[in-house]
Amino acid sequence: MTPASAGGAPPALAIDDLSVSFRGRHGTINAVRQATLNVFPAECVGIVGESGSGKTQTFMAVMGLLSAAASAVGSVRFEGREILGAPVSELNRVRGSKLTMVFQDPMSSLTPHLKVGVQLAEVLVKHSRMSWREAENAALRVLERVRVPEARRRLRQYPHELSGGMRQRVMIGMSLLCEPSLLIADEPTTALDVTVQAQIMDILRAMRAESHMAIVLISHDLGLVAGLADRIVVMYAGRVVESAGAADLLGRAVHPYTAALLKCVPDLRAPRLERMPSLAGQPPSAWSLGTGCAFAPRCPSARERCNSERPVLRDVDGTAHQAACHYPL
Amino acid sequence: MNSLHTRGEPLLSVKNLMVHFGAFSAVEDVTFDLRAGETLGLVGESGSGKSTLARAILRLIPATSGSIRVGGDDWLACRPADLKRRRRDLQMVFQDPLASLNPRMSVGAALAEPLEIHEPSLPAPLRAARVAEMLERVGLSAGMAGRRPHEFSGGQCQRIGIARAMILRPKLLVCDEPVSSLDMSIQGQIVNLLADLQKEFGTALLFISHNLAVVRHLSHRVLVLYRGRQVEAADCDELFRAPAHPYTQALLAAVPDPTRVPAAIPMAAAEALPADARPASAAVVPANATPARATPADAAPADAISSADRRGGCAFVERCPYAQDQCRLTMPPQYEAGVRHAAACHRWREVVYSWRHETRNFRAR
Repeated sequence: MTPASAGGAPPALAIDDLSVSFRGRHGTINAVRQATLNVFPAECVGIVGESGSGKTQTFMAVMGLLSAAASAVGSVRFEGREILGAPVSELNRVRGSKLTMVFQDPMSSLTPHLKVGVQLAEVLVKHSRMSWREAENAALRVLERVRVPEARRRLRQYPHELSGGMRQRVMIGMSLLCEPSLLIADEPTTALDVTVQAQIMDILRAMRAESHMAIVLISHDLGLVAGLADRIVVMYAGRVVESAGAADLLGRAVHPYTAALLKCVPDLRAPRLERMPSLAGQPPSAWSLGTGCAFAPRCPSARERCNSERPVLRDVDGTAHQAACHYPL
Repeated sequence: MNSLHTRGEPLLSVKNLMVHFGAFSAVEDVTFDLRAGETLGLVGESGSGKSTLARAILRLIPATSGSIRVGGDDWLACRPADLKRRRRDLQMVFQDPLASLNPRMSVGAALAEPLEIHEPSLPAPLRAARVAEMLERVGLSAGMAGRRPHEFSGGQCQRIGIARAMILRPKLLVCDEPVSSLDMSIQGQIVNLLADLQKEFGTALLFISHNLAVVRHLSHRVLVLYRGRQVEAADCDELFRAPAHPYTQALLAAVPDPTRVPAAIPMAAAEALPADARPASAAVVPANATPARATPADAAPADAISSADRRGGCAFVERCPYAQDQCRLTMPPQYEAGVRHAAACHRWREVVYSWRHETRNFRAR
């Protein structure tokens, strides 16, 4: 599955110089800082970072779901049209149909007092003007697509009657109803057991194989993202610090942060290590960022320049591999 | 059978433990020993009974039958008055570090509280010194004692949780998914801290997790639970080298491995499950048929079935890639699959062989 980027097709989603900030009692927090990234049709982009890296807020801004205390500047174009700051009525034409998002907690994303079938059908009645009858048939087909066993019976159940994995399948099914061109999956498996996680990843993999939908997969688990993504974007303290093809990034991470994350991916077939690999220090606090590289305090290869001068994202070589580091590995 | 260690008396000895909630059996016949300075990894999905087992051991919920011995004494017979005194030896670390700390209490007060309860005669300055020492010991600074939990990151909050549990120098520390809510990059910090504290204080650890990569780092021995039953028990390296239960293999195969990206499974193939694995829909159901609500894909671990439902055979049968008729008919006993290695699977020989020679897909349905 090669991204269309080389062929010159316009990106499905173009995020340009996006910044998101939150006003609080104690000042302003900059959650996302000048993030730029593109997602091409049929491409899967993995967004990796620790909590607080801005990975979720970037895509909440894309979806127009930022909290009232937040403001976003920059540009977000979906299929060529600017959607950042667009009026709700305009946003709702693409949101939930062509541009969809699946969240971490499938329980709080489903309405507890409505049967699953109603919640699914409602999407089609609203977005595609289908009759309820047609919409319920489509809902049944979509549940079968995401491998929900006994799909017909599930339509008549309430969310609390389903297991976590089943709920997340319903959420993914819901996001697929209107044949989206881009699905954003934000930590879709974090709340689930490893075995169920593997099943959900299989479903996403199959969805990619059978449609031209682009996927953005957001996770703190680089190993998980590597199993699906064509391209991986690593974020730290609100900025993109490295971006490359998945194989390229896994084979040759040039940013010390990416390299450190890679070391944390467990390898069950390798001999047991004396110490479990981890990254020293804490994820950065949005309050305490200096003028230099935000990763410098935790970076094993930081030098003086890193504390004073912030590195910009630039090409590492000709293969669309970019990193923001003064001393790339 | 789960052969016994030869060295010394176990600190914690659990035999044939059962925890039932009415007709529902949450823990079914679990037996293990845990020695000072050792870690037992308790592995399974949600609904496998691992947290219930831990709570029964701490006597937070009553055990239905079986025995628990702590330091050789009958722990279940311990009277309430003694229980409070002796609970200081058994402490717990929880999954959500922020939710398990009182948001209105300073970190220093949270750490001092166990000392106030269990060592009331300790003078305040000495207590403060113990708190400061413990904060430093878990990688925080004594100066942080005045802060409240929300001022800390998730990893730091878990360090506080560990400090609060360890300040009484317990003999047993029960850790229930202590790193599951943390960033991948931080998990190692907490795991390594637990390993260091164990080495220093000789604490026995009961480490509960569904994440085998984490369990592997800490455990000397691993017990795998499925729907309340012990399906495999082995020394850690043995379990990872030669998993003899299909459920253990499914857990191992589910750990994301960036070096091996699985191919997309076409939808048609996913539906092609053996007919007998599909839910029984006919009106006449043979006595040994799988219950109608046990579905093949994602057999909803939370949907655990009661002991009456599964009297017939192995509880894992609907999800098992190795299942045969025998598995549906008779409950597998604990087979000796190696040295100090027990597996409750009729087909354990083939199961181990397949793993070693990678002859199949090990994913559970």
